[in-house]
Amino acid sequence: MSGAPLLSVREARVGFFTARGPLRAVDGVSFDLEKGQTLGIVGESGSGKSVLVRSLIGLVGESSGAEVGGQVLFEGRDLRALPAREFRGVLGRDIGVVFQDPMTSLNPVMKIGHQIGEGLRLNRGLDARAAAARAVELLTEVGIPEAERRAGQYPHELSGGMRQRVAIAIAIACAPKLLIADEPTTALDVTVQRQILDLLQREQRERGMAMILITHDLGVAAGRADDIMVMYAGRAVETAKTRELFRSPRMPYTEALLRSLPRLTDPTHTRLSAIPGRPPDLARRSGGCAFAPRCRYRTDRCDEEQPMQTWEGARGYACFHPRGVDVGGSGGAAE
Amino acid sequence: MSDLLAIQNLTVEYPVGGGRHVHAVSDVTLSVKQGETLGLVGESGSGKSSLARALLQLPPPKGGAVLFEGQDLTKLGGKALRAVRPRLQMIFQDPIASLNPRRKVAEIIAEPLIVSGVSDAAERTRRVRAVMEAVGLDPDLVWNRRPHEFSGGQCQRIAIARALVLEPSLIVCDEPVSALDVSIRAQIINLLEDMKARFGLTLLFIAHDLAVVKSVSDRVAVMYLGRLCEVADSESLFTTPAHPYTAALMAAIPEPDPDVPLGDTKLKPGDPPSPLDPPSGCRFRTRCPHAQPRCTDEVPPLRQIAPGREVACHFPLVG
Ligand SMILES: Nc1ncnc2c1ncn2[C@@H]1O[C@H](COP(=O)(O)OP(=O)(O)OP(=O)(O)O)[C@@H](O)[C@H]1O
Ligand code: SF4
Ligand code: SF4
Ligand SMILES: [Mg+2]
Repeated sequence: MSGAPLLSVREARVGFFTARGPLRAVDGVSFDLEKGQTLGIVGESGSGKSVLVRSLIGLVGESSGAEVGGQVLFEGRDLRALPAREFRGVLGRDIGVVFQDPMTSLNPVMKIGHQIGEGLRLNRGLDARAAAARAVELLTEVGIPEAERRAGQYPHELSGGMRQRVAIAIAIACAPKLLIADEPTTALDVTVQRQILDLLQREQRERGMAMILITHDLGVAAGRADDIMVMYAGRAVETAKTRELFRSPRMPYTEALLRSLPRLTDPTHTRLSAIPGRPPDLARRSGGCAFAPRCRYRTDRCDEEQPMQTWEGARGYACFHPRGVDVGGSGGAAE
Repeated sequence: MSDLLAIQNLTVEYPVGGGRHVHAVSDVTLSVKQGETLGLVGESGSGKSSLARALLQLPPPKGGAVLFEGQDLTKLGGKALRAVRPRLQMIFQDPIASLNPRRKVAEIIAEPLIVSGVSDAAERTRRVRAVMEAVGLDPDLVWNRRPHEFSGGQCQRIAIARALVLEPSLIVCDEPVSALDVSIRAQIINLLEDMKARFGLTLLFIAHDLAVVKSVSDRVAVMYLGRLCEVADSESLFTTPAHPYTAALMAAIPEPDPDVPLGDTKLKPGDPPSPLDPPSGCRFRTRCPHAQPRCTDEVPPLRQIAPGREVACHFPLVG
């Protein structure tokens, strides 16, 4: 690792006040992301993945009734301390975002080419003609046939896969240093998913862009991320190099999740090793480890104390009784 | 094994105005054997759910026959159909939306009993309790509660209990785990497998997650844009796909193992065409790496290439 990371997040917290009481959606999450690297954030629905990244870019904050804490350093600058105008400048130029539903980032009543060019005019000072020409180039680059004609169309005239390509073109138009992709392929079919993930990876490599890839699909993370952070109930419970995470998870939740997956290499009707219970209700959290009610290694201490993130070099986990076992990949789990 | 369900030349079309139609299911012939799980895979819009609903005559298909326990459901009138319906049940993707929010759990599970004329209240209570216990719900805890008080996984258990209460012979499961949390899916898959063994069920299991399909299915059928591509036992389908589309699907699976290299789908660039205007000949030809002029002119019929293996391709990869 050379110099400061591109993005450094420390003790990020996001709280909401709901009808059922206060809720900690994100509870003290820290991570670093180096230039050009991909961090996969995995976790199930409600684990806080989206709220975390949205809070980093100001989409979740005081204005949306949330209480936000912690520090976010982008190229060494504290984003949360920046004046609003400078913050918007960083967002426009250096950070691109792609969401699960491309319509979130597309304007239904504006022509596609114009939408792609908008950022270039605002943030990169291109004139209308140059922006329009660059928009067509970008459309070609993200794999849209007949780019010139498509640039004059509206989002509803495109298929879901094409819309996501357009959303990607918008996100990368200003050549950002960081791309945040929140479940970018969850709504798409598996063959289209593959094409979009290939596209993201290619753009990322060619541009030396860093990426945060949020997904609930461990398969997607396995194939695309350099590092993975596993979230459970608002906390980062394990962070590791992708291979290490899959080969020898430390956190019992990660281990249980990997063991519960059906494997293509197993014969039909192989019994799955299910995790009992379900994720906790964040508004009804007690002290102790959030995974304790479902954990086979739980001890009294786990019920009473919250395990803090422990670091072994770049590898972190939050557990009193970390695993050292090898669960293998396609070879099946060691008991 | 004999066929419990035989679908013959099934066609489902939806009018969309201007004389145009969505060709959701076109000329599909497929059977489900007594006691097996048949997996049905395909991308969104390939017609999986339309096929499932047409089986149950919701609504009746435009053409074709649906032979269930020897009777053609498309020829049955309302009353005769209602008499068969208890034996043919369905479970949906979104468990919470599929349950009536105003009803108590016990009422939801008892409803099919009432509809099918079980008038003895004590008998209904007994059967509802038994089926709740079978799916892992504690009758005393859940009896008077309503669906919104439960998680997705628990709601899917309720939906499974409701489907089981009439002791059906066939359950059509339409994406039963895709809406559930990753850590809950294995529980529900195991439950379906247990129920199948315990009640001697036959399952038609629709899903887009191929690892899930492989895990539960004895045989698998692959659909693309309303037509069947391939039918095979699950082991052969996953190890030696015969249809180029099946091969692309297999190569696109994101495997949860960083040491498995990403496969090459070999697909031609471009998105799937619209079911409003499917390509002539083979519907896969616009993306198929092996397409020839013949694929434009002739619809490839589903034909047997080995015992138990059928494929609809002029130039299959196997056989
Ligand atoms: N505006 C809000 N007000 C109150 N609670 C919220 C709000 N937005 C999110 N939450 C809650 O915060 C928690 C984390 O949600 P988040 O959307 O980040 O999860 P996620 O990991 O992205 O899940 P998914 O996989 O479903 O996208 C959940 O309990 C959610 O209900
Ligand atoms: S802290 Fe305890 S309960 Fe939590 S994951 Fe570790 S062993 Fe399990
Ligand atoms: S019939 Fe032709 S286009 Fe269709 S799958 Fe076979 S080779 Fe490809
Ligand atoms: Mg999310």
